[in-house]
Amino acid sequence: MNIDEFKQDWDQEGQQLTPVSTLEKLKSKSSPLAKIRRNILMEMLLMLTAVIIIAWAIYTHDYQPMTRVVVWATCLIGAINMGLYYVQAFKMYNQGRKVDLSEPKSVLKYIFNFKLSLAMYKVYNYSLMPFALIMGLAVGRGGTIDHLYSAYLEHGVSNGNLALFFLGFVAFNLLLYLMVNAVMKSLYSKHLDNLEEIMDDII
Amino acid sequence: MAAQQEHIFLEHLNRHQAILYKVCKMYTDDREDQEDLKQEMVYQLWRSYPSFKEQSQFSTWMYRVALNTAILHLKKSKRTVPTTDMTGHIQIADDTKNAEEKERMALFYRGVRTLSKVEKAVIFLYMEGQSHREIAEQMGWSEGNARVRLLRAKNKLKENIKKLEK
Repeated sequence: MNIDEFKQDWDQEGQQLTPVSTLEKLKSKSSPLAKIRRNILMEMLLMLTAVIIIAWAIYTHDYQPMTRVVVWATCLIGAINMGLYYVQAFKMYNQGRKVDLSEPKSVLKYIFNFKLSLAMYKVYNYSLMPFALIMGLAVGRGGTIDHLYSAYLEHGVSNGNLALFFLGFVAFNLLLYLMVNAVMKSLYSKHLDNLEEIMDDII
Repeated sequence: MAAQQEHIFLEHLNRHQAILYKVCKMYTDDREDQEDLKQEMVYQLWRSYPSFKEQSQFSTWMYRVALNTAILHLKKSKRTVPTTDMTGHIQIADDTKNAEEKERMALFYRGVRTLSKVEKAVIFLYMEGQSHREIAEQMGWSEGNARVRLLRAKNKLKENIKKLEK
């Protein structure tokens, strides 16, 4: 059967459709761009919630003078990085709204910018891992960092404890690394890869 | 002003609604997915409408946005309930068609759905009577590339329809 044989029927298709009368409640739900934007928003809100909980936990705990310095210095580093994160996240969120689907170049530009931001975001996450451990110890069980510091002052550090700490440190960072990658993949990378694959196919 | 713009847009949209109808049917056979895709296309068209320069025809611009939306549309579900029409705004009075015609188009759509997203777009533009040059412009390819891709898509579609007929 020749494809052209379908042309006559094709021209008759969709001739008696109910007209669209309103554009109210029109929202983008299923496009990968909409999904990416939704995920950015969700992540920003989750981050904000986490920051409030951590800040509250630290603020309400009375640390020893030495650990207080460490905890507040870590908080300061966290706050600066959080600020940078929010600036970039807002930027990507807004850029997603401006992508023009009548221009494939606009989609490609967004993919490129987002991938770049994502790579930077991952590096930023990895570099903050040791601080995340300090933060975890500061918040965990009413200031675990204080107990560790007291134990250190009383008993010093044996080689066994040092090795245990080192192993824990490596395991914690490895876990965080895997977690960051898995979260980034499920929130952004898989949608971006899919978009990129489609764009490659088009171009 | 915005209400007037919406009114003009809706007029254009309703005049060329068949484009959305056919694109939806080509890209998915599931009723809900068709409705989702149609909504997405109307949304993207309305969102991009300010960038529509009246230098080109509305239908030409609509082809580009509708096809790009359909190509980028990600389908999560794997529902397999086949359908030949759509609910909501886009509804066709299928009863006016004779059974043979309906069956022929159903076969065509089944064949088209076996193609890749980009091949579907090329076939759609061909069926809409677009020339090689116009297809090339819509897809951002060279004319030669469009010619080759169209030929491949047509051959593949012919083969697939032949298989489905057996």
